[in-house]
Amino acid sequence: MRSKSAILVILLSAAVAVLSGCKAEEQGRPTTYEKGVYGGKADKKLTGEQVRSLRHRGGLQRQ
Amino acid sequence: MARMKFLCDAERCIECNACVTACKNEHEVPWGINRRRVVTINDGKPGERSISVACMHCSDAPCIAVCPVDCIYNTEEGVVLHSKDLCIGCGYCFYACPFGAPQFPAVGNFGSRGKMDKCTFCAGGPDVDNSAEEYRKYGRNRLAEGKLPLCAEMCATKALLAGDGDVVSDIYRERVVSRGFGSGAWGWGRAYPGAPS
Repeated sequence: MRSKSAILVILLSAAVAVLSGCKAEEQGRPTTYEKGVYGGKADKKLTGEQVRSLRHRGGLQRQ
Repeated sequence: MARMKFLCDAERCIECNACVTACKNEHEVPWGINRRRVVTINDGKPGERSISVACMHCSDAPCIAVCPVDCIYNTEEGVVLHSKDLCIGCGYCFYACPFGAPQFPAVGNFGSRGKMDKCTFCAGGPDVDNSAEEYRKYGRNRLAEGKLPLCAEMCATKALLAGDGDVVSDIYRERVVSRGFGSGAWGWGRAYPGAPS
């Protein structure tokens, strides 16, 4: 009886230890998946100055 | 700002492959991978045309629709990028892409192909702009430096145009009007349905 509960406690602690390693921040990657939604790092939007520079350089292709 | 687009003027492309070389050098693309290729049709016959092909950064990209882990996304500027941290190398995007853009660096046992690699419109990836990590995974981020993709910027005949879709289509329209004929903006109908060309 006593050994049975000891095994149960060991199994429970092992399960807790294993599951706690499933955190996204510990894995360094998303661990949940939502269909159709990009789950990676977000990209930065270009600034107004960068956009102006790109438009200017685009116009230089007019030859 | 309209979305970013590529346009290859088949009347001007002289098949010099400078765009291919520039891309490979700028991003230190690994052996066996070409993010851009020059395709020639009717080679050596009348009506021969060459076209520089890479990811066209489609408006409604089929690769995004088929990716089972949703690692491909559209930026605010309309560039189609992907996260190599999420990619599982399944190859679905390769089968879905009408331009054959996605490339896989590895051929190994059990069908392992490595992480997908493709043209980024010189916009890097989702990592911090111009960081060593971004360069290692995706190549240089020229857009963040206010520069257009190198393949287009260094095209000697200006056959390959890149940039804001409005600017690119204006340039091409002026060319067609001045020369009196056009071979069509190759791939535009497929990549950007409904866009003027």
